[in-house]
Amino acid sequence: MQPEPATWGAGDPVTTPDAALVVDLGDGPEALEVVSWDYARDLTGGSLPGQVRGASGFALGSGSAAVHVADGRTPWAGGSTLPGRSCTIEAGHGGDRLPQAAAQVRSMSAGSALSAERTLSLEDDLRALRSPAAQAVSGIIPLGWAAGTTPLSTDAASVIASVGAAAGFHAVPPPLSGCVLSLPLQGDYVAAVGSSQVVYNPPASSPWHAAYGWAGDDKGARRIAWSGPAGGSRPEIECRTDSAAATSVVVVMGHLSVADGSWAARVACTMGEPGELGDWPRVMAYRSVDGTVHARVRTEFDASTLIDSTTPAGKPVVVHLDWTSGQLRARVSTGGAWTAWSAYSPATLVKIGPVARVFVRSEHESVATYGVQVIDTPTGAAADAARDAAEAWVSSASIEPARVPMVIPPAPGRAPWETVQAAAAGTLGAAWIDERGSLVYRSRDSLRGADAPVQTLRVDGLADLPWSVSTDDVADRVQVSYAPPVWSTASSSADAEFHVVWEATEPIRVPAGGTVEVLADLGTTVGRGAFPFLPAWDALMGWSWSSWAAAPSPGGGGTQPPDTAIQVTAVQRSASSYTLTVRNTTAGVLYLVDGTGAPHLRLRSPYAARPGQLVTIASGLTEDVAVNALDVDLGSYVQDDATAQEMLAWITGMVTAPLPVLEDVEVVPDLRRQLGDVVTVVDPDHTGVRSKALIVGVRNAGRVGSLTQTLRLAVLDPTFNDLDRYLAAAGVVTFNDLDAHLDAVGVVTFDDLDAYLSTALVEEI
Amino acid sequence: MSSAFMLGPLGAMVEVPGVQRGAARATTRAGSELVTLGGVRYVQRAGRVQRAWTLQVSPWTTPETVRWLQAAAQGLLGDLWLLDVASARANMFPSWATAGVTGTRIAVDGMPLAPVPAGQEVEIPLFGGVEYRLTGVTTATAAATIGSTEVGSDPSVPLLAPAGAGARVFTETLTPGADDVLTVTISSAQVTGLRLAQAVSGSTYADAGGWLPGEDTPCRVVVDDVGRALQSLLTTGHGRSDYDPILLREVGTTGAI
Repeated sequence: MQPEPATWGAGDPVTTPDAALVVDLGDGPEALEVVSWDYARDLTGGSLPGQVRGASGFALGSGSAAVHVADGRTPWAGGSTLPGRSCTIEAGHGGDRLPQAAAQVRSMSAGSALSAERTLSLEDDLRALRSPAAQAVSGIIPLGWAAGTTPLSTDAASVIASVGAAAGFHAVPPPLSGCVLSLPLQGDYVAAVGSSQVVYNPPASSPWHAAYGWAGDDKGARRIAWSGPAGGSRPEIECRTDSAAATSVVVVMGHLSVADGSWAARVACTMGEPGELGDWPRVMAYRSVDGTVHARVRTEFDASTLIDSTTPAGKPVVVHLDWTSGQLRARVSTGGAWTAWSAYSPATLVKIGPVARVFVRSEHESVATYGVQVIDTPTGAAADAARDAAEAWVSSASIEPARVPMVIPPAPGRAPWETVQAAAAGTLGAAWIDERGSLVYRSRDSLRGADAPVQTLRVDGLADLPWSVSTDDVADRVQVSYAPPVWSTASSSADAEFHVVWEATEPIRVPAGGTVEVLADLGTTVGRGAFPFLPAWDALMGWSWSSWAAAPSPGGGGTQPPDTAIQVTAVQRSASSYTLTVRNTTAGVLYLVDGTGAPHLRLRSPYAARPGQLVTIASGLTEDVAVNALDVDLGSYVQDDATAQEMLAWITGMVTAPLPVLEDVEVVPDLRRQLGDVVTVVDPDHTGVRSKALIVGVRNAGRVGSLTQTLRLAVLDPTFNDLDRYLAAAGVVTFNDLDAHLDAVGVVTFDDLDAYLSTALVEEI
Repeated sequence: MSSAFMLGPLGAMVEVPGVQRGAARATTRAGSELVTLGGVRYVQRAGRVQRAWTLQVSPWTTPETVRWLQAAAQGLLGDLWLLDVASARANMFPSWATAGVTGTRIAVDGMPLAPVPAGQEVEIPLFGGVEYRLTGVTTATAAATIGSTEVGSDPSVPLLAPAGAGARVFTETLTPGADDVLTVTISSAQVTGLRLAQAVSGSTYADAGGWLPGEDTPCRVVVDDVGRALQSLLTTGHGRSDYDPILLREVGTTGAI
């Protein structure tokens, strides 16, 4: 639902609909008089059949507009008539207008040489998403340091977020000017500027701990927020800044908090060199009991609070840390202005210096963070500019977590829009471009109605309610295919031998005192290297950890060089590639070969994963007797059993019996309605329907004195979230309360409960 | 004036002779309606009205009577404007400019009208030598400047709120020296009930004051071609014909020249 402008009036019985259209026909944007316009968006279900159509897929909006051109232009005379550029339509009910389409003009035509009316054929503007992928999709598996710790997965929505960001659709602010570290945390841990890795990952029972929520803003846009797994100690993301900021930084941190007074999402800026102990300033965001969000700066060991100030609603926490005057000071943004400086009373342990390392951590699963940036602000003006840019930024993507954990990133190399479509289909979610031109992704939870309904459609708001039920989409066997990765793990004992994930195939010659860079491409395996690189003859670990061997001659002969002769450092470039930098510290040429002349430079990993075979799980009749089998290939997106089983169970539930579909429902127009909105349809008098529904198709059309809106609705079942909301509103907190409540509404048997959940509950919600 | 209609390009409008009584003015306002399952009717209306005049010329007339209309239909006169004199005596303002839609309503002659938006500027063509009366109602403080009027390139004359408190009527009369365009700018957000009335003759108006809704006159029109039925052709003089009702359709917008 789009937010309502000031003078809206959708519900007025007498309205004066109007529309405005701005189109670029080659001479820059011009406002043209609209004769008529129409635009439609419809979710098509990818591989899913019609009656589950609403549950996933993608939508490409299209429409047309008839406009009046005062100069009667044609391709041969008059102004420019170049199609292929942008066109925006805004429409309203007589007061303020709302955007309806951010489209591209596919064609312009004139039905007659005598008329000054031109028809524009429009389609959602996907030019940025159709150009060849500028950035391969890459994710980093954050594997823990020591063997025995479990990996954290990334969320499949990170694919959409990173592809979208490469095409210019940002759910969190892109790196601002002067940024030395940017950590979007949109489903993965990859730093957009700087580098990142997870340093501590507590042992958890399942490797699939994708602890993501989503945070909304006042425009209704969503972004993924990360809080790490629940329970126990929390993982930290250690980041290295791109270039060490020397005198002052602005820290920007988006935050989501669902509990009162809980711990904060924390960003700690480490001053000085890694490994140094020190009293590090820590920037935190937390929500207090009264609901306001505070920005705090504290120091690592000292419990004193440097500054504590209320953050303006809907805005990120923006903190300015400064140490130009030899003392650590901090101030917080209050929305366009700073609070006064608050200086840290000097204590001996406070470290002040260039910011090289930053830790990001969420203290508690009810508080999450996103869009962390550290911006180098050598001057006060740069700090003001960073604050204003962070607070004024408007999102161009609305992405929520897919709740599909992934370890192996999908194959890169497709056009971004195809990747987005594949990700939406593989996660049973839906992706589309909305009225403002933002990229929207909704997970399968949202499409099943996890959100509270935004509106109720009653008989007073519906012109008619046609419905149909058919057997076309009923399936008696459902098969779901997914590709779980194959893990290679090492035991946790001290002398464990890690798996070789890459080794050099040719001898590498390193000149005396020189450096050679080697690209280690793990192929389809993803893993995190075990470092440091030790000489192969090292008594302790040479055969367990990553190793090198060197000899003065290519055949392997000659004296064995000292253990410190070769130093190898590695930088992880993507989930399956490293750049190894080999440095020869001796005065003679060395070849990286072992005693027999075979090349020896090996990268090992305590944890590695390869794409596995496609696994098919099925429900329903066996293959030989099934008449109408439904095959859903979730491909490389679903990689764990629990998610695949859940999706199979849901699809089975949706296709075992014919389900009613509401199509071509003409409603009293409300231009705020959007694809993906959950509404309640209540018609006790005619059809008897009382149900939650998802808007899976919207068609708006306007002409003089007329505005029509037609919806396609997918009927939803009540979810647990609805019951939860309803009971919370009714004051039911404990089981005793629930028992008393159900008695009071006359629910005694399970049949009663069933009827209660299906009918009475829907009206209440 | 001996005709109820004046037609022609700005600066050269002449009376349309021989117009019979019963000159029809049809108004069409596009709209649609939707009746819901619950029986509630929702009406959507267009913001503007399109008007069409049908003028009947006296029977058995000569071509001279219709020469102006025929030349207009043939496109020889350029941009055509039609002044409906009866409407001009009521209120020449465009309908959307006489009052606004939002804000605290002000009582105008008993009607609660919302104030016009501050900064509204309206252009109305006037005749030279004819007196016009501009009236409005304001709740602005006494002697505050609420707007201005400007005739052609003459210096603008400010409009001042009259003395007193509450909703008061302000009046200004003007007589352009030659056919020219009047620009009325309202700078205050507390003005409504605007009216520009054309004098019947001299300084006599059709009424003593009050407010009537805007009639959007003069407006641009397009004239359809003239059909005729020849009744008599004598050996000398023009033939005498019955001319079909002539349709003049309003085009474009008013308020901006």
